[in-house]
Amino acid sequence: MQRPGIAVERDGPAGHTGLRGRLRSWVPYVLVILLALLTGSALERFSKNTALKRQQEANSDYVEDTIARAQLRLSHYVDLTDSLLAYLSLNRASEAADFDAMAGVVTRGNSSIINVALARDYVVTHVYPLEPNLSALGLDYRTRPDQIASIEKVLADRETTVVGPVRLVQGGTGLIVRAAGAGSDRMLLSVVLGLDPFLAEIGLGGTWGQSDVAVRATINGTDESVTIFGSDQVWQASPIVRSLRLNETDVLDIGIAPVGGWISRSPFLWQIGALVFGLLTIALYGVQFATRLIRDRSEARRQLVVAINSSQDAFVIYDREDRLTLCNEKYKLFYPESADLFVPGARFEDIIRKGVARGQYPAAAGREEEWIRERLAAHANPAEPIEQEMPDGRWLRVTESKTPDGYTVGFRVDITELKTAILRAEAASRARTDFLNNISHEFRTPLTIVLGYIAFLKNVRVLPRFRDLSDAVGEAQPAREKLDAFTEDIITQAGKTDRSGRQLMALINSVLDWSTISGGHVELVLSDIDLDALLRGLCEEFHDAARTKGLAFGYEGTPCHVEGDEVRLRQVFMNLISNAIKFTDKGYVNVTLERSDRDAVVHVEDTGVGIPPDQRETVFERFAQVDMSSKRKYGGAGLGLAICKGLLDLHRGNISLQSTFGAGSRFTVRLPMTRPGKDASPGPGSPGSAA
Amino acid sequence: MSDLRRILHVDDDEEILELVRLSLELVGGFDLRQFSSAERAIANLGSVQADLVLLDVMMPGTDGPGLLRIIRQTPGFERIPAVFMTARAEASVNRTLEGDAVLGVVTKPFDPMILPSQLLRLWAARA
Repeated sequence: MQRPGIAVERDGPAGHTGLRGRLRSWVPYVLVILLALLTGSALERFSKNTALKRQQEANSDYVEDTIARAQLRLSHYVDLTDSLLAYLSLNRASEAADFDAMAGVVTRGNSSIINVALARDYVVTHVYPLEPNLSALGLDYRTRPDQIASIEKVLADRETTVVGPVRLVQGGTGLIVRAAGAGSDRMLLSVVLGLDPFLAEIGLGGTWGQSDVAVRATINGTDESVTIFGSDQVWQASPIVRSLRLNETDVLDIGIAPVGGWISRSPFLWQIGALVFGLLTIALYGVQFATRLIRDRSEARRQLVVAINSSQDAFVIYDREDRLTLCNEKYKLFYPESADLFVPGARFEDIIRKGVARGQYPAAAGREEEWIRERLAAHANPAEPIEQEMPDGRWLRVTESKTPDGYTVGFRVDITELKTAILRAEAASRARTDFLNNISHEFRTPLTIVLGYIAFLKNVRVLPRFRDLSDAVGEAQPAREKLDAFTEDIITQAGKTDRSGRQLMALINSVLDWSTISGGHVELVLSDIDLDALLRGLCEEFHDAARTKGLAFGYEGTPCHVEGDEVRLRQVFMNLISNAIKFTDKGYVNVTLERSDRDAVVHVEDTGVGIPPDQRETVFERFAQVDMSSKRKYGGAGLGLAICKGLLDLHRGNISLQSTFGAGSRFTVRLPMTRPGKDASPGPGSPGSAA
Repeated sequence: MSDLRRILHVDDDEEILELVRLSLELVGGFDLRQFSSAERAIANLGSVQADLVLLDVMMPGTDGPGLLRIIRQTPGFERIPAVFMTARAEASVNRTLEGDAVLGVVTKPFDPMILPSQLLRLWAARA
């Protein structure tokens, strides 16, 4: 039931996250593995290509260097041939001897030269060295169709040419450098190079490093080529081939191919594999970690959302611009008049203003702008929770606080019951206070009459009619005597009635006081009190009572001010002093006021009955009197000290007791001074003692 | 400082009126004028010319503080000293009764033998 405006998402059904979710959770792993494989493969290819390129370059360099060397050597042989031919042309006369000598010179140091042959008119006339080449002597080139074309060309062009390879008459294969003379006898000098020695001379072996090397020849411009050196296999192994063009029709191809083929796999396959595996492991761990993190976070968020929506309290978040981010259903329920305003992005002030216009906040009635201003201020600087009354009489406690990133989080708690209870308790408390006041009034008014008239009976002689009667009786006996006796009886009985009446009064006062204090209904009327003056006045009032009991009674004080309720403090000291007089039959009662560090200290000391050690604490509890049997003697409700303690507590003071049973008691009252350090000198008109 | 002679006393309770009369006339020897309601007191205020007014706090109709306000608004009585009499001993009650030229509060029950000297003491202590 997702309604528009509720910013909180809800959970799908429980099974929803089953198979699909599990599949979805594998996707990152699969992606990571694919990525790792792709990376590994690319790395491998790159590595392989690099190695292959290097291999190809090395092989190609080798072949090219070899060809360069071959060209260099061939040009050397061409020069050599030209030189020899030139010499032979010039020294035609001594031809036979010279040929051998010069050919020997040329051959020496050029081990590739198998023989040197001189032909005239196509027929070989000289050959060197003669012995192994006897078969060549007298050879007519015209009988060699494989050679005649190239010979004709050399003779025609007079250009020294390298031809071959040629199957030699002497056996084996060779390259022939041919040079033609200028004469009409078609002089042709052929220097035959053994192919194998020549190849060895230019540093070409069957293998080079890890590669096989082969040479093939394409002769006379045909398409056919013949492997003349190395293995045929080379040409099937995608060799690098460089050509050495001997002449217009003869070409030597040098091919090179690595044994076992060109590099087809990276030489660092294992390293790449290990690297990819390592990275993959880390990545998978990372994915797992991230997945768990995401899952935890989404679970936490889900729990938060569920918790927020399950809450009995309303919850809302406003962002830094004070726009609603999210709220729960309860929030809308709590503010039914404004519920449709709670859409994400709505400004808090707009919500409040419209809410006020709709009567959502009864407290705003009549003072709308002021109320809105206060509400916005409280919202901007959240401090203490505030309470809001709703139109239907419910009460909400609004607790707002700022998050560290500037959002405002708000809770609304329905405190209607609490509020009702508090209001009821306050009403009850007020009723109780009123009742106590009324009871007090109702008791005191008749007692005023009772005690008032009894006072006149005690002093019956001041009454005019008594004086009339007395005058009428005159001094005549026995009437005079009987009148006097009757008068004494009246006075005695009135005295007893008066004491009982006062006792009743005191009891009523105590009970009412205790009831007021224990109920927490005492409101102190605080003022600055001259404690010295207060005690001095009190002691004057008790002076007569002490003297009547034959007790010495003294007061000694020092200027001292406290903050307190004068009536209540008077009550406390009155109680203590009257108690001291009441419980002391002989000796003295002394009241002293002194200043300690920060406190005013009052001692009320007597030589009365004292209080046993085990009762020195309980004496401040209500209904406590030292000796239950002494109750009869001293009377009272036993509330006096409890009341004193209660009142002193309210004044942040305290009362303590030192006593020797049978020898006397000393009550010590401490009250915090309002002006510690002042009152150092006695105030004007305060004599030292009132005793 | 003039002597205290004539006292205007207002209380709705007849018994209290009688008791106070005995106390202040017989024991204290004052010239006492008594009224049982605020209205009568106001009506006779000018003719009495009292030195001090002694007013019960709780009365039906206009109560003691109300009566004092009316008296104080009457020309010639703006500063007349007043003493309240109340059966309520609450400090908070006493406080509401404090004010300009209110000398004090007498708490019921009062001792009729002492009441005159109590009033004289308050009178003597007035500013």
